[in-house]
Amino acid sequence: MNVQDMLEGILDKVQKPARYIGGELNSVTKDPKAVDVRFAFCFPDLYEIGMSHLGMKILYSLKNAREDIWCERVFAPAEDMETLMREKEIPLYGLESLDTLTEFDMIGFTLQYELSFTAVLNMLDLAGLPVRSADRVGLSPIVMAGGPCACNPEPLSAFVDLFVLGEGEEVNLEMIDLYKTAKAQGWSKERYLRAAARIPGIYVPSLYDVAYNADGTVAAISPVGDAPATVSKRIITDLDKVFFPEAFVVPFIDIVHDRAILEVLRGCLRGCRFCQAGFIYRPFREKSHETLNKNALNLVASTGYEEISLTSLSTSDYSEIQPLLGCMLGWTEEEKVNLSLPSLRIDSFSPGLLEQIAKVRKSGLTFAPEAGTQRMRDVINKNITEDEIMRTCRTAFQGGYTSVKLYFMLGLPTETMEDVEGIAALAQRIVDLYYSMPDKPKGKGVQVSISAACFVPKPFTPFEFEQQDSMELFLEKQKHLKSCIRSKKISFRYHDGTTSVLEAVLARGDRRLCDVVEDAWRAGSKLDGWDEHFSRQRWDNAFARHGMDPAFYAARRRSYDEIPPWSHLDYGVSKRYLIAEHRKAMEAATTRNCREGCSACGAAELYGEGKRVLPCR
Amino acid sequence: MQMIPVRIFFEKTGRAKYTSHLDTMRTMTRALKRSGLPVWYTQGFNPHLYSTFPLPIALGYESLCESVDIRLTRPVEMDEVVRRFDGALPPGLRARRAAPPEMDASLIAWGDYEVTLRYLEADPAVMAGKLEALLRQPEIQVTKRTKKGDKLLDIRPLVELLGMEVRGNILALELRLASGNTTNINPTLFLKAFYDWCGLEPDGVRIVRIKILTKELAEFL
Repeated sequence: MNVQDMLEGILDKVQKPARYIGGELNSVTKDPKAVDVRFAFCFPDLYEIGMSHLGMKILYSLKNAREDIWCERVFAPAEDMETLMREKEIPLYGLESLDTLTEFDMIGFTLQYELSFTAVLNMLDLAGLPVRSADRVGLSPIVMAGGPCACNPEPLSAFVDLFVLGEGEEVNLEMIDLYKTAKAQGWSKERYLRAAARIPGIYVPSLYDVAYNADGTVAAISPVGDAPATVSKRIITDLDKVFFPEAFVVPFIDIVHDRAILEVLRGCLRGCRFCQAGFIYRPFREKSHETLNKNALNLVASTGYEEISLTSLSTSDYSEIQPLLGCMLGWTEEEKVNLSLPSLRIDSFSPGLLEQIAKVRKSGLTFAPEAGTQRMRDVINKNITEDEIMRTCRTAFQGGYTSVKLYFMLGLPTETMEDVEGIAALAQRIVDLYYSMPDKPKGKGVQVSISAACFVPKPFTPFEFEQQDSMELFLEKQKHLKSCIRSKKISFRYHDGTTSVLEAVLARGDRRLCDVVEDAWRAGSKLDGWDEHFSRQRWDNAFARHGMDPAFYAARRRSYDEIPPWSHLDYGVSKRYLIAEHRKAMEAATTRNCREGCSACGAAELYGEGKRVLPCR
Repeated sequence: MQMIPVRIFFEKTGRAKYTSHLDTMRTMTRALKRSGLPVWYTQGFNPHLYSTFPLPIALGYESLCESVDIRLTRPVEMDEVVRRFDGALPPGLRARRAAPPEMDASLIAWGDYEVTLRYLEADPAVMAGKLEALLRQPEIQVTKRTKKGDKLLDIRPLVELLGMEVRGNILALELRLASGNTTNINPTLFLKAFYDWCGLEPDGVRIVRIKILTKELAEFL
């Protein structure tokens, strides 16, 4: 069913109607009769958030580059739009064709954060589909999901038919090709899923039985039939050969990141022990600066964007950063295109790099020391010393910067109140440094903003065994930190710990949580990442109704030999390595980065038999 | 550097009507950039592409007579300007004509609109009668939202009905409304007064601006 006519009457009644009507530059339209597979790429959040996401842009263009596939975009509607859609019985639709999702062969979600899980259910429901996989009979639509949260997708395992682990450029097409065969030969959904489970990187949760111990921990996870015992994530071995879009869809409305984005590298060579991205995206691989410069030229020509941002987990670790900036600044200045460089590390911040950035734009500087004391930074393997932080701030102040933003975490393993106080003390020393400098910017005060997030233990990190602080303890630490700040030059921002606790539950949850997720959604949870929509009560009720204790998932220390709910999924880094790293953390011992030397985490095995190369080129 | 003023006339129809003026401006800037035309940038500390819109249409309406003023740094054939700009625009926005501006935007006094009202329950012929009755009133008081708060305004002298036709369940109107930087009423303001007058809202509305005119009723060029 096409909803264009039905939209006419409601779009003039909602905020930002351009979110809901498509038609943007570079959006792809095809003849539905001329394609074999229609794919709905769903981002379980608002248009402004989803349209900023690079992964979606890549996979959208990748699929549409094939003549036989038409990939469309779908986002979660805001409250006002959803109310009207439900009132007028307008099902969720693809933005390109304005056809409802029931017309599609495959519906794919990207799982970027745990708090978007209820939005997945809500979008399926808005599309008029049963939310449970078992209630959707027939081959189409297949509901799949990928993205970082697919590394432990168990709390969504009852709703999603299959998950894609790791990087999607190759496996998505293999999955669609198999679907084409299934569709042509009239396979059942079960037959398709059984066959899909044999594609490396595809995890079909219904093909695994989970048994539990009396204490609630997992006893065993057993594959059914010929499903593999372990599913390994996929990686792209050569980033210079991987597909990259020549064009991005250019939205009409202002979105969060409205600019051209270049992905300079994948993985991270640092190994900060709290950071899930730093482990699940291994091994470290770079694109050459020639490839990136070509990508940039293509994007600016096709979009008209006046800003390009270089993105990755740690862009200053990119070994070709100087040649890249060199060749890009050659044309970007002339074309009046701004270059922006997020994700810089404190220790890599040289005066030379500063000079390059200053050519681009002088805004505030942001760094993430993550912890206030050296001991704490050693525990998390954030290999930065206070000297380096001070030296960097000095360089920045000399370069004319007067505001510094610092990111920290509260509740890190082994943290004491002394470590919490260290955050305030560090900020104070930066203020003092500024005023002690004879060559500080003239006539200006300094502004140090600190923001402290609540630590969430994540799967596939050395801290996956750790317990999370309780909400009460988070609150106490926040209050204490606030009381330690004396200077007006320091501002402190923090966030209520409630959502962090829910994140910790969902991140390391098992499939028994599916009932809780469904209940919370039925009670009205759907955009949990937004403060104005989040309700702790709904979740508390849902846990209580199923006799589940959130603390079992969030606030329990797990032994090394406990079987985690994701033990059948393999992201390259071995459990043995995670245990070794956890032990070192408890001794506040650090680990060198991958460029200094390989620590044999196991991710290099992902290159495959006989193709093993050192992760750091 | 040369600075050649050019006024490009364009249409904004279909899905593009859901784009606000601010978003249309950004879309135009990017399209100009993609077009490769030698457009003039402001010369300040933070140069940006110069563009101004004489009378931008509001969110929710379509228009066949939009215009944007830009400056070129070297002469380009006007047909070439249209061709290159049009090629860079997303669907719903179409460049139609380009020429050196002949009139200042301050001369704009009127806008002509085609308004299509669809009624599923009521008889459009009856509604036509009610509209005529409304327009026979000596004054039509409406509340206009302004930055300084709501104010009462008599819009009768600011509205002229140029034509009216009943087609099936549709009442089609051609309206001339005061449009300029001193007195300006948008079509919804008048239509709202009409809906209140008959105590009924239509089931579908389409509004297209078809002409922009000066005080002397000459087409804005």
